[in-house]
Amino acid sequence: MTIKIDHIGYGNHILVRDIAFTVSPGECLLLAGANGSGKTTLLKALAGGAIPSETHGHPRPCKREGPVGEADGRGRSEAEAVSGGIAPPGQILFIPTGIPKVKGFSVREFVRTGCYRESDWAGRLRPRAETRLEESLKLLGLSHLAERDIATLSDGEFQKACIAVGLTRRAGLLLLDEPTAFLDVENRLMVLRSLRDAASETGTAVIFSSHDLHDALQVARRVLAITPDGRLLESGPENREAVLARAFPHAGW
Amino acid sequence: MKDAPSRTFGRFRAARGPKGQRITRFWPFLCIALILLAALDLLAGNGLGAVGGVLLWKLRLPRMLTAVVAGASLGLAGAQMQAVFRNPLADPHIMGVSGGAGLGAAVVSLALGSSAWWFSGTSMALAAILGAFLTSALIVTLSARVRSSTLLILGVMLGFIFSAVTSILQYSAGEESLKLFYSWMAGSFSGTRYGELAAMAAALLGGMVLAVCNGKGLDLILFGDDYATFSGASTRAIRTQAMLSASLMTGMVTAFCGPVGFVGIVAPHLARRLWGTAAHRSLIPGTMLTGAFLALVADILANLWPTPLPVGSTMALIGIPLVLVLLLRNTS
Repeated sequence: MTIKIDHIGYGNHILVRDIAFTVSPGECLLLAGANGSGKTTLLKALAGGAIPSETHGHPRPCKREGPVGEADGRGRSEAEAVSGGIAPPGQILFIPTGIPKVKGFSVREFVRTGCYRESDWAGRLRPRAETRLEESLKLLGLSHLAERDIATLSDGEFQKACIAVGLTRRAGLLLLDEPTAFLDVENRLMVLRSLRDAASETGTAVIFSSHDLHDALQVARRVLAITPDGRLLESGPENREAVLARAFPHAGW
Repeated sequence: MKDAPSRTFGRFRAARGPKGQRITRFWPFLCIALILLAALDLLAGNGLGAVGGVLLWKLRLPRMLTAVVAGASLGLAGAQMQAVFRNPLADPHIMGVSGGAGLGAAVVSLALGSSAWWFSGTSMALAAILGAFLTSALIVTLSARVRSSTLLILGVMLGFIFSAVTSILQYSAGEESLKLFYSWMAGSFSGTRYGELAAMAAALLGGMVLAVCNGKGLDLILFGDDYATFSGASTRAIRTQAMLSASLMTGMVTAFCGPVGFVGIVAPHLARRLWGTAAHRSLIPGTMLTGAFLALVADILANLWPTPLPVGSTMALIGIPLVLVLLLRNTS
């Protein structure tokens, strides 16, 4: 699918302009850029510009067109229903960084809780969604932890549980903000690899932001990079380093 | 499926049903304990002893039922406020909702005086409910602007302001109304009529329906506003519904029983421990049960003596050590 956004920013301050890129199903993309370049804002804008109350100022997704793309039979046809910049649920999903591991929820319960739109009033899922939940856990290697309290999980395992929410909700495009921010080296690679595998297995496209370019490049086939002057560059599989070099001109890439 | 590790607390083990739901052994156990406590509460008054006839029907039974309803209401209000503010110490008392109710009652009973023709327990109750609602509305409005940790401090400050204004009102009040106000302020489950009890039960029912319908939303906001918003929920709607439920119950209970603290903090913690879950599907009924339990214990303790003690005080004596134990356990 092709995604186009005129610009994003807070108030009169424009962070990134003329955003246009394509994502194909099952693809894993890295979103890179310096601190404060607008990675999180861009991801939130992609997710539909829902504005959480605790952010200061307003991320403004303006004149958003798309996602435009062909229906591919994975619930992707919902993309056509996009209007007014708000994506339908189950289509583009955003997983913020630093979700607290609240004690007293099992992994299954946590995933069900994240399926707020999909569950009934008592928080129960339909049998089909319930099957998808189990499949997602299996795919991410969490089946044996399904009844564990999330507070007892490692940060890496919990991050995978967050990814399971996206898969259970049948994300067409899954956006993750710094999924490896709080992880140690081993967990970082473990999470990123399962993210890539889950993407190719389910056909869900993934865009994740990260500061840790070295690890991220091992799983990301292509790169989206925000340059210091507020442009979004899209790389192919071959020129990832060249694009990153333009986003981080002083890093010596 | 075997018993899951790590979800169990000490020797309290959560068994699992065929569909993976948690079935604890506590439901029957706690229900029987509650009935026993209720029976004990009927016997309490000037020490323990058998009662019968008018005393039982006119005094003891309404007092016991009031304790059960008030405990359940305050526990449920506390559980919802802890989710709304994502803070384990939030409860109607701490957040100033009880204080708002108290100020409402004080304005009617002290400032306007007991001589006014419309003065009665009912008008005092209505004023208390109004005070609770206004305070909740203020807190919900503020919650859109400040962080939840700041909000708790704000709630505490709000409570101080209310008690300061209440003190000023006391200073200039007449003796008769002061006496009435003091006996209300101390907190007590006795002296409620069946009509008042019915009003409290109705508020509990209403609050419960609001809470149960909001259960999955209350779960969701525990994981942060960002996460909740991008899961497709309106955090504002969830908060408003929870606070509506909490202030309805708190206002009604505070109106008739006076400000009774600490049930709201302790009951949800106790329920989470016993049932081993923080999911509101189990927590809502659980916290009502533990709330009723605590209120009965406090009421029995209050009525064991020749002169009954204020329930607000006995509740504080049970509640504060429990809060401290929970806090110390959580940090270690």
